[in-house]
Amino acid sequence: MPWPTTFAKLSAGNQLLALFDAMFTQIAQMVAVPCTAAGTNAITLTPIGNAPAFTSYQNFTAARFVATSNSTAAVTATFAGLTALNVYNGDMLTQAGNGSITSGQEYVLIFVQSLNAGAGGFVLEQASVPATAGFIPVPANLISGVTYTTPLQGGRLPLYLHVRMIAGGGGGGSNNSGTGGGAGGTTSFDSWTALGGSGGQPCPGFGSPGPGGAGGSGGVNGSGVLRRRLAGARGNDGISNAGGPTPRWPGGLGGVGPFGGQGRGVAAGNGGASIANTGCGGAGGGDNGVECGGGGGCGEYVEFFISPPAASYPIAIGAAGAASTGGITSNGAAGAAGRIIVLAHWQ
Amino acid sequence: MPWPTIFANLAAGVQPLSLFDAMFTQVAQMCAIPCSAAGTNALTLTPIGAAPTFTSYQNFTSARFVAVNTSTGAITAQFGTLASLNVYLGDLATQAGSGAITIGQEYVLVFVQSLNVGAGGFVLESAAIGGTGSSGFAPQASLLTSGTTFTTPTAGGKLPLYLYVRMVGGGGGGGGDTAGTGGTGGTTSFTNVTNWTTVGGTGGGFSSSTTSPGAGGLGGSGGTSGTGTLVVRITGGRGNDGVVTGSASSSFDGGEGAGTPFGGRGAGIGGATGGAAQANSGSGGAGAGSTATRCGGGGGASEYLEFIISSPAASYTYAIGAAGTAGVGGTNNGGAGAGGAIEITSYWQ
Repeated sequence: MPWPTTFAKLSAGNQLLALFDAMFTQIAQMVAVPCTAAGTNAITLTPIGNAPAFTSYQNFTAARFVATSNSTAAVTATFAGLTALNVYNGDMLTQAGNGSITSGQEYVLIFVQSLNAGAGGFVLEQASVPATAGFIPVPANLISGVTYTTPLQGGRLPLYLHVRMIAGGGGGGSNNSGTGGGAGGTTSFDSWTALGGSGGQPCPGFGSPGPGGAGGSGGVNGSGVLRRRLAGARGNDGISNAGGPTPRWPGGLGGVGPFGGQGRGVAAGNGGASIANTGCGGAGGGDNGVECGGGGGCGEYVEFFISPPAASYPIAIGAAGAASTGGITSNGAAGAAGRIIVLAHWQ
Repeated sequence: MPWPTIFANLAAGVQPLSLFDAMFTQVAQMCAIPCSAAGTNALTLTPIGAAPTFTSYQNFTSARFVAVNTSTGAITAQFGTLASLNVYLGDLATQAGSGAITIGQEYVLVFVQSLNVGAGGFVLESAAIGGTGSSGFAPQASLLTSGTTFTTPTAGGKLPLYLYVRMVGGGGGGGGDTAGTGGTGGTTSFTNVTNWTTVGGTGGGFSSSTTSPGAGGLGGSGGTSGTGTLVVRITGGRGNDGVVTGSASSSFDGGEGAGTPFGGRGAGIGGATGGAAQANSGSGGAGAGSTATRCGGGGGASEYLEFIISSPAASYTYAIGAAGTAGVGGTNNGGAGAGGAIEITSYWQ
């Protein structure tokens, strides 16, 4: 394509000086016009000094500016009194929004007529070499509370959350004549859930071991991508042996999950507590006779990704299954409560 | 704002040719002037051929060049004979430094008056779609089970953005049947200014009488946190007690060892030596089984730890916690605990 005028080809004699204006107008359409910017989400661009103003938007007319505010919502821009148009990210579909523009950083807006179904819009460019290769993930280790507040870095929400969580473990059963352990509670993150383990049961009598509690299972998936869901491990049965003299047996071990933390099966004693917030089942009651309680089941475990994350989520930490009571010799231990570990990633 | 001159609006008659100069000066202020570059960290930019020279820095005047060296320190640049100014990265606060400019790559320097507290400076731009590594580098994994020095890997000549570290100490050994307490697992450490440590599990006990089974060993706890960000620290589980019974004709397992999040606990084996924990899992070994009514307790598991180190150093010292030794029994021994381990994943973005 030629310039508007090839001067050497002009006919002899006087020519209109407006030919020069047409040439410089064309130049203005091809460079990034240096501008000052005003506004947060509705940005007004004004040429600096003698920099030209293009009088209409043409494909790839551009303006360069340093942002004076962080964008907080959908962004539009207007150049020197022309129509305000939407500003788009690099996919040419997503309107630039909260956090797309950072105060003090340098940008170029490029007009493209085909954007916004032909109405025209700007593409947001930022070619400057970033100061860092990204942000370090921010962890949260949640063992109580009801809300997770998504952290910000550089004024931006993360690209995604990586969540690992486990429900509460069931309590261990008593050795005989007592109660079963309580069931562990459900852990939830938004609409994702992991179900607690069942309690171990007491030994019903000679020759019949105390049944271990079933592991938690059947939780539901929420919005996001499931990485893995593991049913909780079942607690071990207790031992039952009619007629053995002077034994000292531990109760059945509680089920163990990906966070470890099993409780000790104590010979002829109350089950040992499992490690807090591991979702493990409690050990059953041991016995100096022949009737041991079953261990509690482990809580269900689930791991998933959420992208893009919201500003906050409701959470619940599954309660520990209660210890059993009323055993003739001993009782089972309480299970462990649940836990949620969230890693927020920006890239 | 208009161009300096609207030619159609000029009065009739002779006009100075300097009007053209003013117009082309303005054009030069808005283009990226093609330049050759010299220098490593103190760059000098010289217009190529007939490309114009701007005579003063104005907001957003720009110069385009191909780097002739890779930067090794804080970068400054000057255009022609104008003042030498600092070069900044995209946050407009951090001065570009070592590795910010790579030899053979194309860059644009854009002048911004507000930089450096109003003294002015350049923003470094690199719009080219790069080659290998331009979209980032894949994580690199390191599993440390011996040795004393971790050398941080590099990719594209760069250290990682951060390290994600998981580690366990040694697991306790299982107790013997009628004698021999299992050994305690060693502490694993990773030194980042100060020590991150995970404490090993305690060994399981032995059966001291026909009414006293071997007790399960305690899980490790009480390690320290060094420089970095703690993700989670979990106390090790406790080993299971052994069994005692007056029935001499039976065959019983020793107490099971406790497992860590790396799995691998030692299994109790009926009437025989306790099962060893899986290597470098930090789990406890099982207590000795018995056919003579007295079984050992299982070893405790190590403490477990996850943490993040940002802007990592070139190397770190570390120590892997030793496995707890098996308790030596009268007839059957316990199973050995597992040694510790450090799992490091290096991320560049």
